[in-house]
Amino acid sequence: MLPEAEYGVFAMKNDEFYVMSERAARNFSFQELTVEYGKYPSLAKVTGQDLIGKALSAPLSHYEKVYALPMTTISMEKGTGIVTSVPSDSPDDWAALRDLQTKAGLREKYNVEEAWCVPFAPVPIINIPEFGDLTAVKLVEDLKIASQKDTALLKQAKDKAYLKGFYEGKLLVGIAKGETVEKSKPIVKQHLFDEKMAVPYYEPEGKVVSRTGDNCIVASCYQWFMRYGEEEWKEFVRSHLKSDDFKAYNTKTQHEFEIIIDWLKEWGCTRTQGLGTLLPWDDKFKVESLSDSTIYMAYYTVAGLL
Amino acid sequence: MKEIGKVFYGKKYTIYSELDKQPCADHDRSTGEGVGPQEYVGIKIKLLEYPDSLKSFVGKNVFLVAATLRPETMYG
Repeated sequence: MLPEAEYGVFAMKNDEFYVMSERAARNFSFQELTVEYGKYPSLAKVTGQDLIGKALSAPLSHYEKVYALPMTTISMEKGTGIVTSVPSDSPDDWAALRDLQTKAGLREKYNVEEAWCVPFAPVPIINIPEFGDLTAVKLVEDLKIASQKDTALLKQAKDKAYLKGFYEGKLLVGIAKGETVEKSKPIVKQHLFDEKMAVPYYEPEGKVVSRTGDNCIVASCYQWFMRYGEEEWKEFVRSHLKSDDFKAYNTKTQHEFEIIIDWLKEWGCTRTQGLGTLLPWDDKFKVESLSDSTIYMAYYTVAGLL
Repeated sequence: MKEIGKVFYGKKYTIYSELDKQPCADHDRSTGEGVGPQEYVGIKIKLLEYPDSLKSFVGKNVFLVAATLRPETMYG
């Protein structure tokens, strides 16, 4: 928890109550999770400090009971404002836990008892050949990271751990034991959803502001899509990129094309408000307009023939 | 395109403006061109003890929800 942050309590469809930032609840409400779509009234307010020291049951955790602890580096602009702590594999989590375990002054500041943090040693869950069974502990030591405030070094440690771990790391425990991190991720995710221990949650991967000045969210929407991401079609374009018929003139541009083709997926092509041509087979929708930069590209491909 | 099955009706997680009451496409944005939805796993961590400010929820299922990109590490 971020001690000074304010969290809300929000009622979900399934008679459960979720504690999170209001910003996250706004996203939740448009993803068919709250009692009423698009509504996110907070039933109570609670600060991070109020929750510190409260006993928790964390899904799949090695420890039957854990305690809510303070973490000063949490951003309220990302996620729910609450984070899990995986000190074995997240350098940030290990640095924050170690600060609490070893610094009496810090514990005092946030009213943290030793019993809530000292007995919780990092648990080996993933082996990465280069780093061993406790990657975060090793990297924090190797890079001589002194505290959770060493953000630049921690970022470096996190990137190292994840880059190596994703393909080479293997799970030592659980339902995907023996699998690589890459393969186990979707397996454990589905397991968490199936067991109702977690819900899928989406938010914009970066800040999005509409031209009307609204901070955008992610909503589950029903509308018409074009299959831009079809693998067969992508492969066709990729082979064209590699052929002699295509010249990018420099490798960076060539690479950009490859990235964009990988990134393309189904593409929404309708809207419900504003001006536009009605969709011929469903007049609740209008055809989404194209931006000028899209039209230039389309025009240049045929300009030579006109 | 519809006849050959290249257009379909479906549900998708989309960048959306609450104010405009509709999806916010690239050209409707003043910030964030090309930004898409990021999927997280919302981990439900059950509250076993309630602070005073949440006493009215005693007996109900209250969870702290943490959004993670690393569900495979929840064993730790």
